[in-house]
Amino acid sequence: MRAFEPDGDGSVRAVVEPVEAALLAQLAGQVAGLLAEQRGGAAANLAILRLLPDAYPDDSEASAEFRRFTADELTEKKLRNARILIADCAGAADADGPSTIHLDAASIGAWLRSLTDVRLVLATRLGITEDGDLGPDDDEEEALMLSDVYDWLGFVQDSLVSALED
Amino acid sequence: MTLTAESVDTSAQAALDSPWVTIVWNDPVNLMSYVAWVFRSYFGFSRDEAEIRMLRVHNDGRAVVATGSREEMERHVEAMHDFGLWATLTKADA
Amino acid sequence: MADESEHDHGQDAWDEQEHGSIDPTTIDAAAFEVLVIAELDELPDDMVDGLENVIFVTDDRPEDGTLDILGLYDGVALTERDRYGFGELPDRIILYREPLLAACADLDELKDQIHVTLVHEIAHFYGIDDDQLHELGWA
Repeated sequence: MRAFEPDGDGSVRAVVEPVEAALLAQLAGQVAGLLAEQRGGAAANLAILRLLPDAYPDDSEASAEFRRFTADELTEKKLRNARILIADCAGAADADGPSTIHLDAASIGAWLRSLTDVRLVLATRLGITEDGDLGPDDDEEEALMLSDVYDWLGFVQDSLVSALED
Repeated sequence: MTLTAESVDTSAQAALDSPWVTIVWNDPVNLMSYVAWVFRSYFGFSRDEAEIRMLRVHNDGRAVVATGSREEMERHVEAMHDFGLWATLTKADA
Repeated sequence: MADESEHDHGQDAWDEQEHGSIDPTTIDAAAFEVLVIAELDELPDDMVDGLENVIFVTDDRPEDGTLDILGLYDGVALTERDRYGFGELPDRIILYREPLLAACADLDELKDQIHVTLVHEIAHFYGIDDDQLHELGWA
């Protein structure tokens, strides 16, 4: 894809390939699935724990209470963001060739958050736990592909943030 | 104002309420550019201030981004989680 | 004493007339690749360990079709990109078969030149210049 560019009035645009739009939508959909599954329950896995972290580092009771009060709303927000991203990608994913995606301010907010959620989930799957971690040690093709996707998403997000700086 | 048991409790609580802080923690995923942007757009820090705090998170592993009441700090933590940053709150003197 | 500026620090091909060259039909793309891989394997660990997300590829000639360029480092910092397609690998070091063959009189020289070219391009990746190359003992 071409990097995001400002498009006037606080909006941005980017030219993306159908496969890229489809991939973004697919990833956001997978994260949405994870989030929807855990609604109402305790943080059940590493990915969810990173999406909805503990608020009190040394107080599990306070953390649990915070989670009780905030997790549902936070989850709904994240699901909404994912839906927006998926909807924004739909046209481009079905196109015959590269097409332009326009994002207004609302979409931009959703994309930034959704891209972050996807990268966080991918990172837990890739075992990226510290600065400098580059991903899996093994050569498994799937792991390497995930790693490429993760890198590319970093570019996508960085380009979006850059477009907002102009 | 009549001193009731309840009002004694409330004022005692207020006296005991030392300020709380919101801390943002470093994580290997979030882009420096994104974190700085979050600090600018949510907290309203200047470009320089946001950069400094972001670098503090990156280099020191954590940085305080707000102080105030526990309730306010909880709201900030929630907002940070909404952005995908990892934040916690703690008593200022902890 | 020798004038430094007369020495070729780059990876450009030498003047063919002063120097023999290998018939390009005798070493095809596959054979060339084998040679490059062999030279890569011999490089010191400290040179190779830092090469994340860099792939080595071979090609017959550079895009301009000349025999002037022996090798190329084709990479741009992620933050400087204006485009990044999913599936694209960010960095490549390319060695060109025909220019290298044209620059070398025999197989031994070819192996040496492949080695030198690899080191130069890897140095580009690291942002290392010629002086530093010498200091590191890499050239």
